[in-house]
Amino acid sequence: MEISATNEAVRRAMARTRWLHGVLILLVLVLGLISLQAGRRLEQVRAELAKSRWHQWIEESRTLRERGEPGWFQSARERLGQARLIRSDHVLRQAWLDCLLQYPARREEPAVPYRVLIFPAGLQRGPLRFNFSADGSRLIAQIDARNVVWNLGEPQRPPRLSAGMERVLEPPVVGRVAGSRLQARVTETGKLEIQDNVSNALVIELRGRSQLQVETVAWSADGTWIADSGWIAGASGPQQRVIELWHIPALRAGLALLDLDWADADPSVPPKTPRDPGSWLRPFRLALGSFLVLAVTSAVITHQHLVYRRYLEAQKAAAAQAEALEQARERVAHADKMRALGTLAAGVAHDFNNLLSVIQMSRQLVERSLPVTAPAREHLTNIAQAVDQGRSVVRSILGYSRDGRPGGAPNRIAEIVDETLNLLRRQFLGGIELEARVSKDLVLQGISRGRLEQILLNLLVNASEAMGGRGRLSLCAEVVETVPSFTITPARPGPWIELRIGDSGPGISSDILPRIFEPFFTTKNLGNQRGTGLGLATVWRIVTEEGLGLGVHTAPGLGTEFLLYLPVSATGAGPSSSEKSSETQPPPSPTSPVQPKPPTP
Amino acid sequence: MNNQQVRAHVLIIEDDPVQARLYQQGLSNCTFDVARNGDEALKHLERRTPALILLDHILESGDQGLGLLPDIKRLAAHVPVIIVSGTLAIADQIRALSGPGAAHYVIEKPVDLDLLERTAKTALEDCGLGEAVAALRSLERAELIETGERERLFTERLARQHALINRLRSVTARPNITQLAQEFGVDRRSIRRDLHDLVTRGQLPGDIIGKEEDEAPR
Repeated sequence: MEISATNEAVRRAMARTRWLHGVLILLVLVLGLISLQAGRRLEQVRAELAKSRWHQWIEESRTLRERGEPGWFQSARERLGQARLIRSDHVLRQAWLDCLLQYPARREEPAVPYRVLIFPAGLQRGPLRFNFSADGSRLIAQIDARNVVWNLGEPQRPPRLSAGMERVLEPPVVGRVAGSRLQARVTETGKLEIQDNVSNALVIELRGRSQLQVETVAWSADGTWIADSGWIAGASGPQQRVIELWHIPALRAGLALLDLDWADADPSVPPKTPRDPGSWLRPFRLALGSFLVLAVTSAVITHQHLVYRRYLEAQKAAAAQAEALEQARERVAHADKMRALGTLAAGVAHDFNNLLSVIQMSRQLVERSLPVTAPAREHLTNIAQAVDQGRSVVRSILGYSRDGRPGGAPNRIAEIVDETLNLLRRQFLGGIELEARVSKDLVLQGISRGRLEQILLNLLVNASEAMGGRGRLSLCAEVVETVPSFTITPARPGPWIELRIGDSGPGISSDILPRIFEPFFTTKNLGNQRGTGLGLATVWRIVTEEGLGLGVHTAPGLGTEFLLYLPVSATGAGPSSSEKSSETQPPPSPTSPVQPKPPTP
Repeated sequence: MNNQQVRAHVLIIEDDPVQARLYQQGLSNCTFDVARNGDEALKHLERRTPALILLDHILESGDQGLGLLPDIKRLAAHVPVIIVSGTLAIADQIRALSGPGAAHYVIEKPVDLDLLERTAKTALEDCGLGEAVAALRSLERAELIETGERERLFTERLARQHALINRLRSVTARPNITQLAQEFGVDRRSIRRDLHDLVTRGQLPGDIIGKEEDEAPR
């Protein structure tokens, strides 16, 4: 069937999707690893690139500075901010410091990390000595036997120093900065070196400049001064006429911008290798991205699975509906067939009636013409009997009810069953063991007594004939709410009175079961026992017309049970006496004309 | 010709010629027209008004007796109709017998000729014209119609004519106008005019007047 083929295709598609899922996960993992590696390599390349860019920047900064461009320092600072990638490159660090520390002291901001003090022109060259005041707030220089004092807080004219304040600084000078011991000295080539004596690392190497060379460095004598105020001074220039002062914390801050510092505390601890915070984030980001992709892919595939599952469920539901539709179509086809057969039966009945009519009238005409004593009259009587039987056959074909009253009055089902059984007892139920269990409380509504009696008559006669006049017949009735399946579905929803009429006959085989309600269908083909094939057809017709329900339970050798579903009275009221009296009315004689209009005399 | 009996005229609407013939043989003392379908039946009705209509339900070319009934009643409202049917359900029979334009009887197939004969006799004597007269008298009594001389005369004449038909059908002898005039308490001219009306309406054969006129000068 088409639907099952589609289901198979969908199942295959789902298996393929599962396989794809696995492959996709593997792919994403591999991609993640590759991207990790690629990230690292990329980082290296970028560092190389940055390094070369860095050199370029430095050169540019230098050119700008030498030209005296006003914005050179600002641009150098900004580029410094971008230079965080550069680490542990001594040459670069040096170049940067060169650039930074040649800042001319034109600006007056207190944030300037150091000052360059230019001696007044015309100052004689002589032995230059520096000293700091005891509180560290002043620098005292001894030039040509004169003391010049600078307030380190702000530039001012150097005052004269008193004699007692003089002190000659001898290089190398040792100081302490933040717990480490620094040594500063002027080298032979005129560079200023500040060295960390603990870690023995070169902290700063100030290369000599074109015109100015550092020749003298002043420290406080005990070194505590540096730690307190953080100033270091040096004189440079051909005539040592330029004194440079460095503010050590500011210097450190500048170095920290370059990710450079000297060791603060424990000398046994090797200096830390600074790391780019982006370096560990990037693989993490890559991995995160990979897992995000994986998660999204999984979600998509899971969603696809869900969609497929819903599709499958929909397919299943559609198949079930198609099956139900097919069953309904079969039922409709069967009903159509029954209706067509009913029409056929009516046609047959009509023709048959006409034939019977001709026979009857002809017989009467012959009878009139014969003398009273003619022996042929006996034959005419036979004809009359045959016509009578023929009429009863036609009546059963047409299914005229004995009682045409439209239903409505409540009826006790037990009474109807008893009455019907009494009617049949002598003729049909002689050798049959009868078991009737019908509660007296069950009350019918909406179906006429006569119609139900006709159904019962047909079913009981059918059962009796099926058993060949010997066997067990059971009738029982109860109220049911739901029924698994019907042969004829009732017009109204439950509850119904379920009336079961079971026989111990041979049962009905499944190949003829669908045909038992067809008119003229009979299994009783032997001699006098031949049936008309109209009993169950009449049952079918009445049940359909009255909107009742019908079911059949049967199996070969296990007997047959017909189940009748009747509307149960909501009130449960018993029948009144007037109804009892009406049921005793004899049915209208078939030979008397219906005369609702009494003739006027 | 002298032995000719005054017979009721019956229209049989029946598609089966065998049955139609059997009806004719079963109903003695009647004359017949046979129509096989609705059109034929209406043609017959326009030509001559019968005293009784026998209507089969299933007709030729798909016509149905019950469908034909309103047309029949339009053309001949007072004529009694007996429906003969083998297949009409009880509800349909009741419908055929109910309301205005209803048939008078339904006889089921196979037809019992004795029953048919009895029914036809009752219908001829008491239905149709008889019913009409009864209705007019009832209306007069209820003063629903003017009881002026002309209307009274009409009703009297109608009643007299109905009685005349029944009288003349039951006997084969020639109608004695003098005797009839004495019996009904009217003059001979009225009786003669009634007979003439009946012949004109097709309820009596035409030669009955000739017979009377031969007798009249005597």
